[in-house]
Amino acid sequence: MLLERAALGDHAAFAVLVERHGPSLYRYARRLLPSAQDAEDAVQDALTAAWLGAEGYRGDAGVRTWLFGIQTNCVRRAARRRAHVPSPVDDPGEGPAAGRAAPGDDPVERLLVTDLRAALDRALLDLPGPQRAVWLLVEVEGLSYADAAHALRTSHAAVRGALERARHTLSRRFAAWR
Amino acid sequence: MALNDDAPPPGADLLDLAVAQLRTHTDAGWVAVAPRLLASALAAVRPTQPVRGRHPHGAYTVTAGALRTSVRALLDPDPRLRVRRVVFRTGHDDVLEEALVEVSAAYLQPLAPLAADVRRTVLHHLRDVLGDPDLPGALVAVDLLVTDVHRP
Repeated sequence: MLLERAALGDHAAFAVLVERHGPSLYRYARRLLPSAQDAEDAVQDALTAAWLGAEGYRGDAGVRTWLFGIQTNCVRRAARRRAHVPSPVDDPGEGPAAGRAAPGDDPVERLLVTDLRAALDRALLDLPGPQRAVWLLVEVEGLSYADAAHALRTSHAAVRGALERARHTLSRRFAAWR
Repeated sequence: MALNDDAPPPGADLLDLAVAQLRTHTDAGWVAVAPRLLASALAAVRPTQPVRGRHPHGAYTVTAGALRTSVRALLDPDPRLRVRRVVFRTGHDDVLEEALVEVSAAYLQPLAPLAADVRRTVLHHLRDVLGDPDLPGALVAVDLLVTDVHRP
């Protein structure tokens, strides 16, 4: 419904879509591209393409899958434009609330969470780009194998195979993380 | 068969914990740029065909996109319906030949009177915007497609 409204020129409806899916699209792009600037550019391209292409959406995939399909194309174009020099995500906090503890928040636990997430971001660099994309879409963004295959324009079997290899690699990295 | 064949690989528990954290994480980079990215996307101009209008002093064109937005804004306040799609077809010299309005009707809403009202409202609006009070109703067919129902 929101995408239909956006196709009719409803800015507010599109803003809701961006609020809902933007963080996921950025999280995905950031972990596939070398820098925050690259991710920002790729997400900008994806959101613009989604706004311009809203009228063409026919519902053959869910809206989220459709958006990740567009984002994947934009990430691939960005990666081709630049020599890919992977670098870990350097994310100092969690937005405006960074550094502010919630009541009852355990600072030690918060530090562990941040370290664990940073370790995961570093471990992701061990995965080849296509495996990383599959793993992010399925494990982090919660897409089904079929939806991930649709977004990545590949087969269900390819998604399954890439995911198994990715899980194996990442588990081995975390076995050494203590 | 080894007894531990079904055991998760070493590191899997920590990996699962890390993944759970990443799933709920919003990058600071997104928070910093989100308003700007949204504004830039909305500023992009959709390609759209022109529709010819008439004025005593000459002709002008209106984009189909602007017409679509105006029809949506016109019908939105009506609680009997929800606009789903608006399509215009133009012919030679960008003259409007057909307008298609697709709506979802509210549950239990009588459909024939609703269709007549939408047709009348949209036709009046198009005549006004395109500067042609004589725009024939038969020539400009406003078709109502009830593709869904909803509770108001």
